[in-house]
Amino acid sequence: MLNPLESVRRKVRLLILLSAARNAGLVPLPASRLHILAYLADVLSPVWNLDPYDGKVLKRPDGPFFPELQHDLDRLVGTGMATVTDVGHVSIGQERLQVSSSYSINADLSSDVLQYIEATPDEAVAAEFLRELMLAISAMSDEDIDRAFLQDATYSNKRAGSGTVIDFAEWTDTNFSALAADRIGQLVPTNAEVGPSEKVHLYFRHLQRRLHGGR
Amino acid sequence: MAGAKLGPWHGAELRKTADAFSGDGSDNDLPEEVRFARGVGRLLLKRIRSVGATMRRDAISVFLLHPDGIASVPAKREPMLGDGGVEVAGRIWFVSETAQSGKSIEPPSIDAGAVFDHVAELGLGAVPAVAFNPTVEPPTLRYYPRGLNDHHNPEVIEINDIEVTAERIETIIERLWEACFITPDAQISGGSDVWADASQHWAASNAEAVVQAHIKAALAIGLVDCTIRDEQPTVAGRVDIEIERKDPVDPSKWSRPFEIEVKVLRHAGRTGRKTSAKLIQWWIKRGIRQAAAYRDARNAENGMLCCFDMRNSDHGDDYADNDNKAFAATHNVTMVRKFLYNDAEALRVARYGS
Repeated sequence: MLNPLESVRRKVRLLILLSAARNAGLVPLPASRLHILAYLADVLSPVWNLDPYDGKVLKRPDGPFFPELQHDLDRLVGTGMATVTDVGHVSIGQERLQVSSSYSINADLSSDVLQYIEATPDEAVAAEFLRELMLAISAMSDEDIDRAFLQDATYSNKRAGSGTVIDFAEWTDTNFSALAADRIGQLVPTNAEVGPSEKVHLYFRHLQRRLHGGR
Repeated sequence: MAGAKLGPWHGAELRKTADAFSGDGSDNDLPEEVRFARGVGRLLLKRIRSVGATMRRDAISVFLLHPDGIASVPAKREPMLGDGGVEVAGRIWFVSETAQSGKSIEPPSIDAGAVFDHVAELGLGAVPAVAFNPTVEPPTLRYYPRGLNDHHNPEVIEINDIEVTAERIETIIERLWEACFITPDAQISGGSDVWADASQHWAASNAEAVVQAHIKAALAIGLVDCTIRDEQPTVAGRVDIEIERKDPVDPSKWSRPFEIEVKVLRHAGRTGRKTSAKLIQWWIKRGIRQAAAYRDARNAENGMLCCFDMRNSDHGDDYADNDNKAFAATHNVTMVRKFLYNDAEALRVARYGS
């Protein structure tokens, strides 16, 4: 059974995420890409001194997927706050098909809600983080975003096999992605004190290099 | 140990990325439209550096801070735009504040006037815009913070590899002062107000922070090839503004052309309590000392003290006494001062006589 309070929190997060993606020119977002972005936001949130919404993820060959998040996303479409386009289907093997669609924010309908949400101190910081995260990710091609999890420092850790749960903030605090972002910030050649925004940008620059064999 | 903590990632690889991309995302505290102008300037500088000799030169391009694009004209996202490898000429680009990626459409004509008209026809004439003109030598970049509808007052952005000199910084500060600070009427509304009560020459308590933020933004647009950092820690205290410059060929090589200390010289604070002439000179000397100390602590090439003078009379070149002028010369600190008139009439009297 879905926890109603958690569901509201996830919807708030989804609205902020979709708004940030729009600001970075990334919408419409295919569902699978949206789940990848939600995961990356979770795993990098400590860089911004924020707690992740979900501190664990099931490792799947196709990338992260959060059933509750998908449920709440569909509810947002039902309210009109989010819009859906490119409805189709994709093969998921063994002659099975899965419905696929792309999501955007309905800017007209959600603007008042977002204004209210972002006026609350906690959500304002979360909005700032997600905005910067999406801007950093926008330097990557859609194809690279869709396979970003393959090189993410946490998801790609071979100690966690496919089908296992990767815990980065529930019972353990080992988050390789956030640690890597901090480390890369310490390595800038000018020895400048680097803020969380630059760390996030550098993280995705490095992830992109890894996706392309270190180039 | 270090490697184990990062899972499959390794420190040596991270250093290469840090070398190549340090500074990315460091400008997130700038106003959105300033960051946009800087982002476009940076991508075009990269383009000129890499393919300047062979890039298309027969048409302008316009960049709009409108990442959504046009709903009625589908356009594919171009993610590598920010790296400078994409041909931009003859198109209208829809980008975010970082201009890392963008969508574009082809206007009906490549004639510059027709492109501007088309932006207005799209209903985007009030959107912050940057126009790049590669048809002239050297190519020019004009920034329209209030959109192309207000095309009479563009700000020119330099996109050449020019040395960062004291004169260049002073010119940038001069333009900022003329546009935003010379009189209270010139000031942008809201948080940029440095006066608590201009009629009585009372400065706001956060005047220095306001001036510092504006100088940082002005330098971010004026020196697009540099990273502008603020509040960097040193053993001698926190630097107000620091300028970093990467070698255009080898990003692992860099320099720090300037450390800038910002001071406001107050006639009186927000409660009306007056500042003595002696205290003003002490404040200037402290600024000179800070600029020298930060320059040395950060291995920078130069130190600069930038004073925004809010006193009730303009002392001209004698704003600093001879002792302070000698002190600055001894420690090789460049001094810049701008006088803030407390109303437009005071400015007119100063320029045209009473």
